[in-house]
Amino acid sequence: MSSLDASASAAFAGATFVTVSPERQDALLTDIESSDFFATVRFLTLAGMFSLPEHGGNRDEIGWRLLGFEPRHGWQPPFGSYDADYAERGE
Amino acid sequence: MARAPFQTREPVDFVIVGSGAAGGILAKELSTQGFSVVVVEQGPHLKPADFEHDEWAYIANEGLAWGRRKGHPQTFRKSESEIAQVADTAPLGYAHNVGGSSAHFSANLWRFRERDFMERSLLGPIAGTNFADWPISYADLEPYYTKVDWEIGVSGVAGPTDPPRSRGYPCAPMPVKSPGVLLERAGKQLGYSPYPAPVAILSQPYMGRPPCVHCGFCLGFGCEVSAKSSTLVTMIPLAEATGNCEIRSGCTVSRIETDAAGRASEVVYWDVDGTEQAQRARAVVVCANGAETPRLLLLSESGRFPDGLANSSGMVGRNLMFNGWSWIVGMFPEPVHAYKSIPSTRVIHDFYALDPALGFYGGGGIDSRSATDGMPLASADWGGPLDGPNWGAEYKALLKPVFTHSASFVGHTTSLPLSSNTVTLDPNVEDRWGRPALRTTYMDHPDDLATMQFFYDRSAELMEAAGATRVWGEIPTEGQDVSVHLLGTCRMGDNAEESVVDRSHRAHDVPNLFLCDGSSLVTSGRGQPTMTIMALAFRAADHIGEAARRGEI
Repeated sequence: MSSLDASASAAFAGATFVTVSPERQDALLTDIESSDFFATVRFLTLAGMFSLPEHGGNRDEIGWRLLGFEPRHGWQPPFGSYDADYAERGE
Repeated sequence: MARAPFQTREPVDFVIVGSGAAGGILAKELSTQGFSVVVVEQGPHLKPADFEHDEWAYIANEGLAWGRRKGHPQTFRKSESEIAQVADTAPLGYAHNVGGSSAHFSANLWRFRERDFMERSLLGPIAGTNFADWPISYADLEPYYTKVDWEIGVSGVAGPTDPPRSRGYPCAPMPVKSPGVLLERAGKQLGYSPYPAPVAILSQPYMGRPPCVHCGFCLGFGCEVSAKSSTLVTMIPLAEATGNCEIRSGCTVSRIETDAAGRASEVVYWDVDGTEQAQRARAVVVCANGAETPRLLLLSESGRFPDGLANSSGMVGRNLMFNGWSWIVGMFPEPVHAYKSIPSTRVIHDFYALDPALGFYGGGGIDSRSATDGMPLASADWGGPLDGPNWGAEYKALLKPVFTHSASFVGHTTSLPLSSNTVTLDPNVEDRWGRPALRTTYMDHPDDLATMQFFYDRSAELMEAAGATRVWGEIPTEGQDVSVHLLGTCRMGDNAEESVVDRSHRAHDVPNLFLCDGSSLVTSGRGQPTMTIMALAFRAADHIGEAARRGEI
């Protein structure tokens, strides 16, 4: 994280990563997107966003709503539009 | 006769190592026949109520499938010339719990067909491989396939090119999902014969168990309503109810001891407290899967068996087969919601045996799936277009369309048996018990890779016919380095110089040692081995029981 801040400071006159604009953050991240550090932070971010809320992230199921995942314990057909159509029209 | 629980110093009729697809069936069959049975299982005895819809725990953190982070590192290399490296994801994947991988698998239950048992005779030898006929035929196994259908509980309907069956399925096919409809309509458009995928999941109440509730958490998870027909909920309770069978869970076997006559005498294991125990037995049945069965035999080397128990042929651990795969994802205009219900509802078997004129050996099936087993974290992590962004605003905008509007068609294909593809003991890495780690040496045969490409190409045509608006996918062009199909490593055969067990699963070298699981397979089949492993287990139980009653063990 400190090297990201150093990059931000060098590129944008004394700023830290969190204080620069989203566009500039994207530019800084693009520089390191192939690094192990980025891969780790990316995966942990996704884990926090899309795992069971009981683990401490995905508050109010915000990640699941972003995906369109509805966490029910059971479903009944039709599940999607193509099988609904199949049930209606046949093969 | 003594009843369970048994004393370790009093020999029981059978110790069974492993309680999965094969071990669970052998436990039920042998205990029902009246034999005393101790099952030693390294994982815990979880119950359906213990299973959770927790992708972080079950998929991202080794849940039922232990690996490096739980003290069970495995190493991998492509060839003997390399030094195997510890892999982050266990190259040989399987579940550690009573019921084994039958508790967490996708429950696809395809039978093998006549040709699978006699392809060497049909096609001739394939240079550089151990391609061989089985010592048994489809007709020998058919009654036991039917036994699996009816005793385990299978949903399906006979397909247009199915092999002969003596009885229909006990349960109607599962309801079709949208990926299945897309595959079926595209397949018919191209002149193929798609049909409902047979699965070990109940579509209706059966033998006291309820039907599937379509929760969508099958692959990698246990079924909390007992609708998945694992041995955990089908065979193990029946075995325990006989009073002749004791399940010792949380117990890790270290070796099989032999006596002065060269017979298996006892099974040594660490119990749930880590204390070493040894259970005496009149016979030992190893059902520890295609990875752990050869490993245990190699660990059981002795002065009399210097290259490992039952390994005079040198075939223990060789001929490892995975099954190949192809994977293609399509985006569709309307909601697919592939995350609901079971993994696969339609399959195409029109390419069961590829034309030899293509210049390579192979065959398989294509089934309909979710892109990422319906898992939210997986979909966000790797479910999107392979050439698309994997972070940023454009990535975020694709999350929902990919999760809700995609379907995949997956090819499942043959693997050839090769002497160079092996499970061995790693000389440099140990597990938490101090045992040499499982070392995998594996590289797909060129024909296997050509077969995967063939299935990818047909799947791409199907995606186009299905009306996909954007398509991506891959095959493992550099060769596979991980699998959950662990096959062929103690192959069955009549010739003791070329195989490990005979047609009754008895080790050629040790008269009271039997091996039955994926390791027994001579060829790989077309990508879904569990049905055949289960049928072999029912058949083995008949043969082993008869031999015991005749005093021939």
